[in-house]
Amino acid sequence: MMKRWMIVSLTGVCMATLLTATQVARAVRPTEPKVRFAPVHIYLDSGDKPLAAYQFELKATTGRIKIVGVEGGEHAAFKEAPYYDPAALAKDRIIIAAFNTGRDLPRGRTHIATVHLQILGDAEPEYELDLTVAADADGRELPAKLSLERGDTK
Amino acid sequence: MTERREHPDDEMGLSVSPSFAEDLGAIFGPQGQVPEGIDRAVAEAARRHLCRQPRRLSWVRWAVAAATTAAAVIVWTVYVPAFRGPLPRAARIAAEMKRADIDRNGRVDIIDAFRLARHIESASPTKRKWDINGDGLVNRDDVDKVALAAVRLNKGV
Repeated sequence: MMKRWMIVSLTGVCMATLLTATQVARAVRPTEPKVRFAPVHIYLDSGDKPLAAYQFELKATTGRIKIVGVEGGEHAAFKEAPYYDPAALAKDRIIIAAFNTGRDLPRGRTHIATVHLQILGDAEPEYELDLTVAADADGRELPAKLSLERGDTK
Repeated sequence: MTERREHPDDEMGLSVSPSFAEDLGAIFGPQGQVPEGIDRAVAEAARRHLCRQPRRLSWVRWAVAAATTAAAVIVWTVYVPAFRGPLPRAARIAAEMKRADIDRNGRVDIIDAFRLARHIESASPTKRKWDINGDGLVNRDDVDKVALAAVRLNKGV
């Protein structure tokens, strides 16, 4: 009789512990942040000089982002995917560069690259663009202006 | 367990005639006294031989030790550096960045890769130091290596 009571009470204690633990785990589990994907299009204006090479750095100053991919621009000279450090993927900072030794080079404002981002949370991220160098067909540095446009969020 | 037999010959009934025993004794028995002079000469020769032996052994031991030391020194100086493993990461990156600075302006950027690509395309003489990946050739692979050094996030600084 005593043995039966012991088994019943032990089973009860186990069930109660399990139920409590499940409820506590549910209560402390953080809510999943909202995730969306958005491209950022990068433009470079080299004025009336032909653009043969560029290098810039992009980073998020506010908001939480992860870089998920990089693709080239629109002009044939920079259509191929640019150089970047694969270690930058899944981070919020990237250095991107490309060059072309051909004769058909873009002038004026040119779409040079697109960076695909994963944005975590509701906050709209702010970006910082830093042009390291832009050069003409002779490898001479050019004064150029870098800008970005946000693409459609998915 | 079997009992040990003390005199197996007796049990087997083996026995020899006295004359046969005498003949055997003549063949296998002691051959008489060795003269004292011969005995002494043999002892002297043995002594000389045994005294000389350690000296030769000592010489061989020294030779083996010297050869082993020489072999160890050769292995340490010639082979070990090749297997010491890679340089520390920061030093390796710094060396890589130095090699990739084609225009020697103290900064590795895409212009270095661009200039190297132009050199290669123009078929003008290339410098051995531009063989960035160390494959014995200066080609597009080296250009890619320079460009990747330019965009590296961790430049070892």
